[in-house]
Amino acid sequence: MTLGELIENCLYLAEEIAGKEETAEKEATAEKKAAAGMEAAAGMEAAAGMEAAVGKEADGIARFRGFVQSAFPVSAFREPPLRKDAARIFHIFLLEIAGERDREWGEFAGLRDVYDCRICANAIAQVCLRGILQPAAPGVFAGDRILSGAEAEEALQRLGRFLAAS
Amino acid sequence: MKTLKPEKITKDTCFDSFGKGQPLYGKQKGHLPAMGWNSWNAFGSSNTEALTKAMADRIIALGLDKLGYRYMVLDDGCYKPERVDGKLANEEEKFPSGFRALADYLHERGLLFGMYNDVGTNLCAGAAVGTCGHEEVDARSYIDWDVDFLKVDNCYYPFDNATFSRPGNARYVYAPIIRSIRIGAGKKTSAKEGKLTGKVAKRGRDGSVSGLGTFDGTGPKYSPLGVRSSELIFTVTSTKEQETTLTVEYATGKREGVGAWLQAAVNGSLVQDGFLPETAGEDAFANSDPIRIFLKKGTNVIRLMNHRRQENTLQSYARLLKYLRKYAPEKDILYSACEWGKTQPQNWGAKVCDSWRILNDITFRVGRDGDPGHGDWVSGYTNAVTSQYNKAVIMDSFAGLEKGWNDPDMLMVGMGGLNHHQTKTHFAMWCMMNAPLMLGLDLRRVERDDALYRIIANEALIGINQDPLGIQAKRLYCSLCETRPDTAYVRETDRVDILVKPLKDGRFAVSFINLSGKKQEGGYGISAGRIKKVFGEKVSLSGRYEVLDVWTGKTKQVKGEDFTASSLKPYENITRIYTPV
Repeated sequence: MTLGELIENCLYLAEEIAGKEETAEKEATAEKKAAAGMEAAAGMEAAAGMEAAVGKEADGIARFRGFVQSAFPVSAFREPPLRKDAARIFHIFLLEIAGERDREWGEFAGLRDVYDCRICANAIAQVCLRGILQPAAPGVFAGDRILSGAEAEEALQRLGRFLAAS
Repeated sequence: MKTLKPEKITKDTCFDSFGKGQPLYGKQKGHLPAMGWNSWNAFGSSNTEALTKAMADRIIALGLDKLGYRYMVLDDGCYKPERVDGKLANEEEKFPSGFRALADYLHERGLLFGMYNDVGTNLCAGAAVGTCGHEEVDARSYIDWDVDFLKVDNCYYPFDNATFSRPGNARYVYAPIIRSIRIGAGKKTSAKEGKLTGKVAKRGRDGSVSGLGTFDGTGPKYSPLGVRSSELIFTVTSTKEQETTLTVEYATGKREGVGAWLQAAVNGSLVQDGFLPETAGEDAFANSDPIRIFLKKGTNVIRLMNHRRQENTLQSYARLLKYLRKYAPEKDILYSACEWGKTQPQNWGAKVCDSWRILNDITFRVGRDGDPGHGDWVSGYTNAVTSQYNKAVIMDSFAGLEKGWNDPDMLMVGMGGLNHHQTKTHFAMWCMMNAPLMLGLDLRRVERDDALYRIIANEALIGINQDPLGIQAKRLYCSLCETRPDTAYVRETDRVDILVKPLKDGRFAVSFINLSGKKQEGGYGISAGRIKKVFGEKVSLSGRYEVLDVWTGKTKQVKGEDFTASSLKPYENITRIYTPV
């Protein structure tokens, strides 16, 4: 999987989640209002709430796109990502699209190579904390290693599961 | 694509010239530490034109510009990821009006405009717009954009194993393993017979020598003081003046400690400065081609070494400076080297820069709009107030108006993770150490006279930092190291330090700093005699002083020859200015 494909997969996941949230929100609002005998108002308020949510989601997606587009040279999009680059992509996804906030690094502050990449250090710790990527070996993240296709698929699934759970 | 290679060194950029310290290309000196705001700690790569303008407006609304905070610096994340027609270009989503328009906005308000780049091929956040090989065109862009300050990073550097560079780039900055030398057709002289300088080099069991290069100072492990590089030196006696050859038995590598680039000097003249052919491995020794040398009658000194870690980086910073000076000789652009202490810039920075970072970053958890980011007080690596302080506090001998300033990175005042005393002490430390004062917080979170404001707008502390004498404080007492407190590299933080800083008109500042989380009682002090011994005529010791406590703002008259603090709360500093009366 190339870096560009990894980003597209992240965006696909974002759209999928946004779609699910949109449907869930619409249904919940409609049910609530209908129960109160306010079908018409329910329809309107659900639509307004949905627009706001979609707007917020779209902003996050735009910021995510903006970040990844300015962070990597064009040529990098055609290559498989390094693990540290994947960490940066997942981290910005978590912040901009999933609305997550950074947490204390915990045990991942002890990764021997976490500071090898000053721009990715926090991203590595944050994605490891959430189980999206994992150290390549005990105590070593191996950020300079290429993220294999299988690792990328697994990470996307883990990201999806993390989002569903949160 | 052209192949990048290190430039030939000159008499002004070679290692042997470092001690002389003359600025290159007429670089202006005499600047006090820079003050302003930098986008990195506040917003990381997500800074925008709108946020920068908002920060500028807050600087003015809070009156911080009147206190000296004038440089508004865009850090990484502001450029398009590729050059446009060979030139740097603004990232249009984030900076839609372009950099010149932003510079104008700032200048119209009496502020100054700072930008960021990198001596490598890419910026640290990834954009492929580093200045390496583009120095001339980039200098013209910066001048067109009316830039007043440049911070230049060191990622993706092609001639060293810097961050994001290939680890194998170490071959540029370390000599091969040396086993022996031979002069002319004479016998081999084993490396065992050579003298080693510095502490980087190591001898193998067979006497061969590796580690001929310069300590990597990015991390906090090593002291910045003393000889930071190693040479292997042979003394050769010649019965006559003669032209002959030097042959070196060597084995190359591509890792920290073992490289392939050899420098050799005979009686101070460089006779070799380049790669030797690669060997099959670090244990597969080969003989170099004979190098032509001249020996004088009597004793000759042959040095085998590699100072390219420092020389390459100096030359890269110098190249951008050259073109800035060429195209705007009248413009005084502050130049901030951000190579993280990797190449021991305290040795060469004065030639080209106004300040030099001394370590890797002070935080790796920078903020973003709505998140203040996170800073730590203590860490095993560089990302803490005390990690930066511990190194900077013993580097006063490198700092000065005609040199430049040690830069322990941007302020973390206002970030999460530091309590009130830690934040105050962080600011006081930076002021005492003549560090650049670059705010790194979202200034919309600051109101006049709130707790953060009272720290960053403390006029007495800013006055200490900006004192016209430009003398970095010296540590005269350290509770963990009482014999050489000014030079001992102490990383344990369960301690109290006392710093003394001469100020204009014979005044001086004394700061009592409790780095620990414990209340420190029993009294800490420094005598007038000790201050006099260290600073001589730079301070006036009259026995009667008007004393200003910089945090309470209260003054009182005192008599005596001792300067003491009876107790210090956890992480507290007591900082006073003594004016002789």
